[in-house]
Amino acid sequence: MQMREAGFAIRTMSPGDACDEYLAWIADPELMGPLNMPARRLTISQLRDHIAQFDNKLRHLLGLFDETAGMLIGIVLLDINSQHRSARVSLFIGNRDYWGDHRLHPLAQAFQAYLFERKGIEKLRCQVAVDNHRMIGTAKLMGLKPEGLLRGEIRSHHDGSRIDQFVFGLLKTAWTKRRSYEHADNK
Amino acid sequence: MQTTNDGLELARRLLAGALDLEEDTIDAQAEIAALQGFDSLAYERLVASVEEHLDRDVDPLMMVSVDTVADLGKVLSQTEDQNQ
Repeated sequence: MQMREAGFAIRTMSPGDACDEYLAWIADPELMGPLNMPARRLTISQLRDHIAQFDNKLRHLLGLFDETAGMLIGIVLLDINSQHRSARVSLFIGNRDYWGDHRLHPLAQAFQAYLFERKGIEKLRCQVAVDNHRMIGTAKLMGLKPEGLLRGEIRSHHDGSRIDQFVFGLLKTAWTKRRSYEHADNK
Repeated sequence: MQTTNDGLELARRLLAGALDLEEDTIDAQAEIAALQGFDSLAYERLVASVEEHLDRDVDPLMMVSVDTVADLGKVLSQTEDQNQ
């Protein structure tokens, strides 16, 4: 999987993409906390093994790259359910310089178009902890709508408490309709 | 008691601060996520400014269901009434 837009790229990670920046993100509690993942200190070899675990058919590990700067800036996880033509996405921007960077929006839109038009996905969704406001903002920005609250859906790695999550979703039909409005507005 | 108009004016003020916009450019019927300047950090700032204004945490379910500027205005006026 690979696409480019406005100087940024999203593509399948390979073990050779393991780098010090990615290791630092995994070890950063501020980055891992909102994802409910423990900060871990891995070796470069362990990171390569982690990357190699993804089959990149149903479970994709994708890297976000600033092609101009030539560096990895974030990670996208994509789980595809081919039977139901649905995909669950989660992501984080590891490089803080790119938080809120509007230059990434065209890539996000191109990624959605790729999933809906080329991968045959009919439903996109994500699950976000109720207090992860940055990710909620990202879901809203990408046009996903809140569809429900999952009470105590996951267990906190920190203290074992149960954490509520929101489910956000976007149907291809809604995406197509929204896009046609946007195109009409731009004319 | 807060009126819906008070809530809407407050919503515009908080959005203007979070998104770095002029208040009078914010249309009541506009979808917040479609406003110029909206992004993940702007949403985080908006939630923080709503909480700061109310001096308490907001109900996540209430906040996540806010879609338009007018929705935010209604939520703010209802929440302020509950505070009084």
